Amino acid sequence: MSVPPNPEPALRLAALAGDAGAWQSLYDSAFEAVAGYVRWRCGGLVDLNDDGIQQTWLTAARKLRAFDSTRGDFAGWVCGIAANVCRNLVRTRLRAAKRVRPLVTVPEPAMPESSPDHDPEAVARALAELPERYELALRLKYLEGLSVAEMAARMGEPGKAVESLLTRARQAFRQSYERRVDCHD
Amino acid sequence: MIDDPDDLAGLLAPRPGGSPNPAALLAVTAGVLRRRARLRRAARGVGVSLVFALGGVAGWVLKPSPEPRVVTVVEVAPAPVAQPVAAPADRPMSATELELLAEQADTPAEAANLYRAAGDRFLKDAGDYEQAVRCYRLYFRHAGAEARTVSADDSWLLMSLKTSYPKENRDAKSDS
Repeated sequence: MSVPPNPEPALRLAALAGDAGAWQSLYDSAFEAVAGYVRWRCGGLVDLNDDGIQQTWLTAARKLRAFDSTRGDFAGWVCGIAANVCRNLVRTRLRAAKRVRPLVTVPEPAMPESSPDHDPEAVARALAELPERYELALRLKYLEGLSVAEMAARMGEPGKAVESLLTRARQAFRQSYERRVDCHD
Repeated sequence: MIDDPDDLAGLLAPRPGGSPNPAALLAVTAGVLRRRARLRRAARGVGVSLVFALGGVAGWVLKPSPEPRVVTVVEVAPAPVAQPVAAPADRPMSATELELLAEQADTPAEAANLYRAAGDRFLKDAGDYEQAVRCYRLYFRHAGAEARTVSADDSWLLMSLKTSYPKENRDAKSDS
C-alpha cells in the first residue's frame, strides 16, 4: 500500500505564487491545532489568545517561504511560530504591567469554564518562562494527552529520559506558577 | 502548594474557547500572500529588465571603436620632363650630358658641334673609344662634307676618322 504524497510542498508553492485556494487548504488543515495551542499557551486569557492567533497567522503568511515540509508538518511549523509569538506577547504584557499601575484592579477576562483557583496570567507567564524542552514535554503530556511511551516515540528518546524530563518540567512549571500566584496575592 | 503531580492537569489542560473569526483572518493572511507574490513578480520583472539594461549598457560601452578610415591619397607626381641639362658655370659638362644636348639641338650644326664635344669627352675623360667613335660618326652625319677637313684642334681619333674617310669611301666604291 503506497503512502499518498504529502500535498503540503505543492500547496506551499501555490500559496507563495498567490493561490488563495492553496493557502486556504493549509490554513484549514492547521487552524484548530494552532488555535488550541495558543489558547493553552495563553492560559485562557482571551485578549492574549486573540492577539496570539492573529499574529501567529500573519507571521506564518509572511514567512511561508521558510516552511520546510521535510522537517515537519505545516501545523507543527505554525505552532513553532505561535510559541515565539506567545512568549513575546507575555513578556510585552509583563513590561507594560510594570510601567502602568491601574487605579482599580480589574480581573483579566478569562475563558469560560476555568476553575476558580486557576490564574490564567500566571499559567501563561510560567509557560513563557520555561525552556523549550520543558514546554514541549508539558505540551505533549497535557495538551495532546500523550502517554510517556508515546512522548518517547515522538521525541525519539528513551522512556526513562522522557519521564525524567517530564518530572523536571512539571517541577519548573510549578515553581514558576506558584511564584506568580504568590506575587498576585 | 501543589503537591500532587496530577494537579497540574487542571492548570495545563486544553482550554476550550473561541478564536478570532477564522474567515476574516484567512482573508487577511491571503491578502498578505497575494501582495507578496505580486511584489516578488514585480521584483523579478525589474531584475530581468535591469539585467537587459546592464547588458545594453555594457554592449554600448564595450563596443569596438570603428576602424579609422584610411584615406590613401595618391599624388601622382608629374613625370619628370627631361630638361636640357644646363651645365653649371663652374663644372664642365660630361660626355653624356653633351650627347643629350646634341639630341635635342635645334639645328644640325649645333648638334654636330655637341656630338663632337661629346666624342672628345668620351675619348679624353673616360677613354671610351667605342662611345667616342659613335659620337664622332653622328658629328659627321650632322656636319656634312666640310667636317671631313682635318684641323689642328681635332683629337687624334677624330683626325684618324677624317683621314680614313676617303679611303673608306674608295673601298666602298671599289667593293661595289
